[in-house]
Amino acid sequence: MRDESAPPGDTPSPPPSPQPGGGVRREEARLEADVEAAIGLRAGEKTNEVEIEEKRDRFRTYVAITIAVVSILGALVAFRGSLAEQDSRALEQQGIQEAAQREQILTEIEAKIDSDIRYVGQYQEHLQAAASLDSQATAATSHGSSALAQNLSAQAADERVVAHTISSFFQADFPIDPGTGKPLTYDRAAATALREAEDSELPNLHPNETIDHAEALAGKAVDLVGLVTLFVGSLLFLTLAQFTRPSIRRLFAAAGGAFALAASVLWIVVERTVT
Amino acid sequence: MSIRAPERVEIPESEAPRERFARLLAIAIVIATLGVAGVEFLHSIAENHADAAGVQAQQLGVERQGQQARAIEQTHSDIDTFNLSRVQQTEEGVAFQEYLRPSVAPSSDQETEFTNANDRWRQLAALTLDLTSIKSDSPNGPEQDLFFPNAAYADATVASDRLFALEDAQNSEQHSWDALLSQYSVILTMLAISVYLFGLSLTLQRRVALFMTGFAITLVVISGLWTAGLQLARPTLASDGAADAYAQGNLLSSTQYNSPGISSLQAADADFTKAIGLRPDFAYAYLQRSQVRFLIGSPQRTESFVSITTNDALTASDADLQKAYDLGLRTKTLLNNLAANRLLLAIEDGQSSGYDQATDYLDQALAIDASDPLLYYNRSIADLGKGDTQGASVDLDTAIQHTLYLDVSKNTPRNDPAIESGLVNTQLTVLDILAAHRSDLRSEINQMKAHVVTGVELNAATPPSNHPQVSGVSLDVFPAQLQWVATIPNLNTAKDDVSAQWYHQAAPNLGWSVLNGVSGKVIPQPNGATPDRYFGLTDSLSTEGSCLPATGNYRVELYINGQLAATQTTAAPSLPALTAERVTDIGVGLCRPADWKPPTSGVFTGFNAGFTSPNGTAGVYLFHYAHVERSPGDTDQDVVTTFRDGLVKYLNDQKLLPGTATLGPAATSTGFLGMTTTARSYYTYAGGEALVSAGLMADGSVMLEVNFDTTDNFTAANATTLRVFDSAVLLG
Repeated sequence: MRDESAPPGDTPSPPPSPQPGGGVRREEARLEADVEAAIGLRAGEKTNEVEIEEKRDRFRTYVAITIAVVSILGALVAFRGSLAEQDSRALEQQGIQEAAQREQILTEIEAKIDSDIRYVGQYQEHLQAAASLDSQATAATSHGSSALAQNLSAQAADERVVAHTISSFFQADFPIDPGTGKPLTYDRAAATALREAEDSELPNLHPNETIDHAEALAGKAVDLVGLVTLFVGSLLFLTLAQFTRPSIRRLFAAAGGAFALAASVLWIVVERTVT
Repeated sequence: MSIRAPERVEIPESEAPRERFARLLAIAIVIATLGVAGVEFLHSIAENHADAAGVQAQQLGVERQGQQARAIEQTHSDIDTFNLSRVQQTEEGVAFQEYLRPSVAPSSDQETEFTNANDRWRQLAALTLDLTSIKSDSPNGPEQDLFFPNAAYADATVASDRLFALEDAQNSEQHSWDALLSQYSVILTMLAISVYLFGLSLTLQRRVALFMTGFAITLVVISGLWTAGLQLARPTLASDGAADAYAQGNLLSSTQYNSPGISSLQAADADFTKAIGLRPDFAYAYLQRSQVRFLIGSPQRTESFVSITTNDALTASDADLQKAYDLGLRTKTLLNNLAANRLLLAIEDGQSSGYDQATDYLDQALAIDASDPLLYYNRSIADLGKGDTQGASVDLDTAIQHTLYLDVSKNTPRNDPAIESGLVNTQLTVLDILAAHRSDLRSEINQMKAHVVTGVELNAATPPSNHPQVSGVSLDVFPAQLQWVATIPNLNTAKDDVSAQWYHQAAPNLGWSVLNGVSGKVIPQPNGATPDRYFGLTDSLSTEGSCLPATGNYRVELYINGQLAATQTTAAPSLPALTAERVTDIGVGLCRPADWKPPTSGVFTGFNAGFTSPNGTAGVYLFHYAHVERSPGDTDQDVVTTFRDGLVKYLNDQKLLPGTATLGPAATSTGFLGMTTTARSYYTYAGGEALVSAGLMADGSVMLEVNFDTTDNFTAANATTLRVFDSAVLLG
């Protein structure tokens, strides 16, 4: 049985040309024509869906690219943190070495001063003995004991010779003689300050400052690790943007972008704050 | 050409849930990764703190060493200057003695010369003394510091002790952060595993995947909770007050012997307690406090090795040592003290497990220092307590070897009699305590006592085989001397080895401790004309610089040729409490009441010295005349008699006695400082009298001692003045 009629609303089509082989082939041709007709009717709707899908795909592509960029930034920040930590450790060692060197120099200076102070007593003994003997010689002369006076004067001269020899033993500073009958003074603090000022290495040693700098760099390394966390947080939001419903994915994407942007800005700040 | 719309991929019904599961897993992976990043951030913070604390500790350690070296060197310098001043004072005294010589004519050039020299040296001594912070009567000077210059060095190390405590606090903080780091590492590992499991779940069958995912979620949750918990346990640095209190406690405990009773020890205990309060993990403060608490109950407060204390003090000390051990401290001192405490507790309370604990601690200590004889001595006690006599014998032999030799393998002798006798005495003391509680071991203990005495004193040589019987042992206790008298037939004093070990029991509830300085090898002397009667006299002033305990009981154990020959006990006579004084420039030591002080005038270093009561009515003077001029035909006895009688003029001229003295009757006894040529008599003055003793020294110089007091006190039983006389000994 043949059905020559076309369904209502269908676009008229040219009559099929006679084909050898009969009616089956004609049936297939009709079906194709129907499909093509149907497609032709829905073409407008299809175009909108394609555009939406294309937009979705573009969005996902952009997010994927952002994820890649944020990942690379995170890796770079981690790398910078590692470098800062290395620098910090090197400075810590330098600081300890400077502290040891400084203590060694201070101990050497103090040893010289202690040696001086030991000689101050002996030096004073002979210096004051000479003055006292001179004074006693003068008194003996006035009492007419010339032999005793000569003896005392000779002893005084001997004492001066010994005192002169001892005077060459002072290394850090020289004691001040305020006059007969008064003790010599040796200003330990002044001698220490003088020797410290004269030392060529001491001014270059700043262990506290070096260690403070090392700690600042270590703090920078920690901050950079913290920024890595921010970048990973950004990745979390970007990942959610990839998978969640269209209505909220832009929100996640924005949050991810904000995290990445904040981390990037903070990175610059951290890098500029501590060098 | 037409554009075809993209084909829509329809997800089969069974595929949709899987896709949603995959998306959730992806989110879970990112959350776990975020957790990793967060924990890593906290890990970095902890690592930063740990590093900073470690660096601070290193810096403080460097500063401490430098500070300590400088402070000690400065103290050396101060002491040297003070000693120079003492030498100059002695020169002054020498010049004064020259001036006193009878041959020096009044108003002669010679007299002027000596007077001038005397003035000059006095002035120089005063000037030199101005250069040092140490004075004779300052807290760190010889008058107030019994073991001068120990207090000066103790003062010098306060700052470095403080730095040590600060360094230890930083080390402790670093360890705390390191402990956190370890936990963070575990958390990071857990999070990493969870990330892996989330990823793996994407490829597994649904049921297995769900299980893995659940496990991974559990790990993430545990990690989160654990991390949150760790934020509540962040280490904090103790305040500097702990270091200040620790340094102050160390100063007080190291100079406690200068204060009466246990006042300094109690103050030190309070300081260490304060330090612990401010820093509860301060293990070194616990260690120091344990020693202080042990000494608070001990009569051996000036000894190097201590074994006797009250049960309360022992328990308190042990608790502190255990706390220090629990806090991770593993020094040789801590381990040995802990072992010693466990031994004493095991002996006194019968806790047999204490012997095993002690052995364990001593083994740990020996791993640190295998050459310390004290550790072997203590382990031999532990062995004996457990009944292992073979092990005890081996350890005792090893201990003796390490006592005699610094390096046993090279036979490098120690040559330190004080340390050697101190080690022997502490071993004898602990063995005596063990004997008092373990009658079953008495025979072994006696053998070990004889072995350690002989082994160290005879340098492990074989003793002679002569073993004479000893009988009629009697004991005499003086303020600074102990004497035994015994009948010993067939004793060959040239060959036989005799050793007297003197024990003291401070209170009935305490054990007997061997006294250092008076115990050890002795050469018996014939006691008068009685045949086979010998005596042995030893003093604590010349050896230990201390007086003997005035109360308690004394006991002697006499060892002859390696065997215990006799033992005898006596109660101490009722003696006044006296303080040791070593007058080294005169060469005499004596014991005096603590409140007797040097007079402000009339004494010259190297010539004379004195100590008088606060009201000046009692006291003692010593004189050493180095320049002795004899008249033709003078005998030795004439010389000492002349000086004895002539001293009255000097005493009156210098107003050294409370009144003007005149010669009185001769004393009935003539014994004085063990010298053979002596003369003694009394001077009398209004309200009091003085006993003047003179003796001729081996070098021809004359030594005099004047003991004075009110007449009433002088004649009282056990008069303090006479006890001071009894205490005097010649220093070597």
